[in-house]
Amino acid sequence: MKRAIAWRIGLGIVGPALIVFLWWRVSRRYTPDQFPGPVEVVAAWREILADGSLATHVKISLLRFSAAYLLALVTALPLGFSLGWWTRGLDLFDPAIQILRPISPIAWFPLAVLWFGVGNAPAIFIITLSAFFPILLSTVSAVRAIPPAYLRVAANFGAKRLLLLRAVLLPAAFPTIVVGLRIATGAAWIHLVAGEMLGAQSGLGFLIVDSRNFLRTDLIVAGMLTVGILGLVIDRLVAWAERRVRFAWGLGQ
Amino acid sequence: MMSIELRDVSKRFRDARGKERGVLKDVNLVLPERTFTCLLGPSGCGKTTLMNLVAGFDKPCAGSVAINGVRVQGPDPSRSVIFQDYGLFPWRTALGNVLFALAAKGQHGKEARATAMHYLDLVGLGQAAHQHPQQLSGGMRQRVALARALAVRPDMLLMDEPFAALDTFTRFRLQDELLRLWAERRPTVIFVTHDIDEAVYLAERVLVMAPDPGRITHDMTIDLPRPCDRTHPLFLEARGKIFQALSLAQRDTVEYAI
Amino acid sequence: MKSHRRTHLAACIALTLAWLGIAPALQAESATAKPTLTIGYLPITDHLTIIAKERKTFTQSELKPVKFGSWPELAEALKAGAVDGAFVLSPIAINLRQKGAPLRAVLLGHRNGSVITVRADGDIHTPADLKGHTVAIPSRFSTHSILLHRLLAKFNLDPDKDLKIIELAPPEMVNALATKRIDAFIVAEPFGAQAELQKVGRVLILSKDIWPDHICCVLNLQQKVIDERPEAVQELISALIATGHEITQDPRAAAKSSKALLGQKPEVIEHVLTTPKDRVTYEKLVPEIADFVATQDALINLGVLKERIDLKAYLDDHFARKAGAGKLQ
Repeated sequence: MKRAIAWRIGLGIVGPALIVFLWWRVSRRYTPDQFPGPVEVVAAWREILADGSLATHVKISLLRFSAAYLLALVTALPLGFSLGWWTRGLDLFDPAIQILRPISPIAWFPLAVLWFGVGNAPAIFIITLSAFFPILLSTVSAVRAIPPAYLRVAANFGAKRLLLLRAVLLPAAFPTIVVGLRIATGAAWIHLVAGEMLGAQSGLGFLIVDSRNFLRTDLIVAGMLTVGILGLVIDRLVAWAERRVRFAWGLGQ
Repeated sequence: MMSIELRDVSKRFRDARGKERGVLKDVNLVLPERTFTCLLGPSGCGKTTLMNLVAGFDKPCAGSVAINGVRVQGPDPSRSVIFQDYGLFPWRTALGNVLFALAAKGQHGKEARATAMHYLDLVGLGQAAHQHPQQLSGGMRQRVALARALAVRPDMLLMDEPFAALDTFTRFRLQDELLRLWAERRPTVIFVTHDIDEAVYLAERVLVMAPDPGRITHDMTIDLPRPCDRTHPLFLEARGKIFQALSLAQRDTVEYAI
Repeated sequence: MKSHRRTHLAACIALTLAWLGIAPALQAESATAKPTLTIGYLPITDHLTIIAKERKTFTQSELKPVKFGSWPELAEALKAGAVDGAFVLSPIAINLRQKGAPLRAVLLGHRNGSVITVRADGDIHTPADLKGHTVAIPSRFSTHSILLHRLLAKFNLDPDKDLKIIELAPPEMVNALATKRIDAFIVAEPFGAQAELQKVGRVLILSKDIWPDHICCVLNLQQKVIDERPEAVQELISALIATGHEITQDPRAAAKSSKALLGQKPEVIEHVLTTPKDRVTYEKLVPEIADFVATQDALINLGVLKERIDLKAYLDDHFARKAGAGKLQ
């Protein structure tokens, strides 16, 4: 058992270390301004860490992400349940959903600015949009895929609507919904950078976009890596939360 | 307690090719309360459909299904159903599954827990109360389903081939247990099966059914001392009679050319 | 509709409305008691006068600069009315105005200020040498495109046949030059200066030598703001003009103080301001109709503008003239 863990940790370190080494080798063929190597990026990190701007950017990006994700949950989950349950409703809304879904949130920029102005609001709108559809669609298919046997059992015992939702629908739909939640997390975090192009004055996306204009490629890469690492952390958190719920519900692996 | 009356009941379905098939035709039946009846027949004879109509999961296309004189509108906990695939919620423990049925009736808290544990003990699963269905064997799962069905003290028990997926020895054991549990409160039981031995062993009354269209062809009473001895000549005689009835029923059936 | 379906639908609609209601509340990134004038800008030397924010005190309305990363988003914000005004390339502004946006040009951001940068180790030493090479511009809707075509015309080069013109995002131009994917670019400063300081590029010709005292970026304001808050507008324009004078008098100090709002390295800004001295100028910022006529004509000739606009109705120079008449601060 201990050896297995040691192997996993070992591989987990060797992988990134290899990539960093490759990165360093490739960066040597370019000037630091064109393609910074690990050393320059670490220096850039320390620069924005020292002047406090990294903390500010991370904080505000996480805030925007959380607000947007929450909004997506609160709108997509109930709507998903309704449309999954009520087939007529799905027939009504499905064409609109399928048309809107493939539109990249970036294409919404002009409307985002028109409806929400500049700064926090359009960024949150863009991020919410990118998280909304994965959650909605996975919820709809989760509800529709609930084995009719469970519904029959619930009907047989005369379970009322609230008990049905709480004790049957939610747990039965959970495994599929969670897949959508994780996809939505990834999509939302990716579009964070895009969303912050609309007149935001801070944030990790802003840092990356702003640094472009100064040709501070080292800051750009530092920003990219921060976004990537935070994205990984968030995904792991969601996975952990999922495991806890599964354990409590005996769904196991 | 519940007596069931079916009058001129017919049910038609559209099959995958859109053709209408008569799954049940002109079924007339009265089942008095506190009786144990088996529906026996090959697949396609409509026995499960008949049970679903009584349970309230479906409505007849013609005729009426009435319980104590009142038309069946939908499912109800007074008519507990046990499904072939158990229908247990994998996200709840055995105890949790029984508690669900009680919660649906409005029973919560310590009282409900006590009731649930009582029925789990009754089916011999007191120790397994905190296991999830995935951790239990097929036989144990069916016993949980039984405990759940009985915990709401139903007037009627509807069972759709509940032991079909189990091995012979587990099946025998559960048949005995079922009879033991039934003897306590004696709900009206409709037991659907395709196994002749099982029908003879369990039921006081066996309704033999045939397909195309689904109908009851023979109504036979089984008058044997309980519990049955499977090797006793009377058992074998009853078995033989039913076998004959089934063969007759089969011969009268027009075979479908595919 | 069954009652529980109605409740579901109602709940979803209510939630969506709640969401739409939250959105405006999230608009304020910082709450100020005083009224504000939000002005959009890019971190380029063309918009250097925005440092008036740090140097002047405002009594009528607080100046709130809103930084953007690139032209499209800034243009969108201006078009949607999400900002009170912005420094905009005149071609973009004329295009917006032609589409019906209620904007007025009230002050120039600067004059001159662009440069054609070529590869430091390349073989282009005179404009005629551009023949057979690839030149990058930021967009067809830019003064840089106009300047390039003017230069080519002067040297009898056919823009369609004698060389290749591509559109490229400004931050990518320096790298493209360094990796030899392009041979030259013309764009707002300080990208040219950055290429110089990185030693990948050198100046071929300054824009002031292509078209002396040409206009480029112009401060545009929403008509509504001019109507409702003329005193605040006057205060802003006076401050910007005064700042322009200060930059002329002490470019080094200006470069230093640009760090907060622009973020560029001060030495890069200083290089643009001083090498040579009039590479970019912040004097004579009153919008003159002749400059705009020339710009509009060029856009029509290039085929990027389909219809002329009424320039008299578009310009509003009375704020600038009033400020210019006053004393230097």
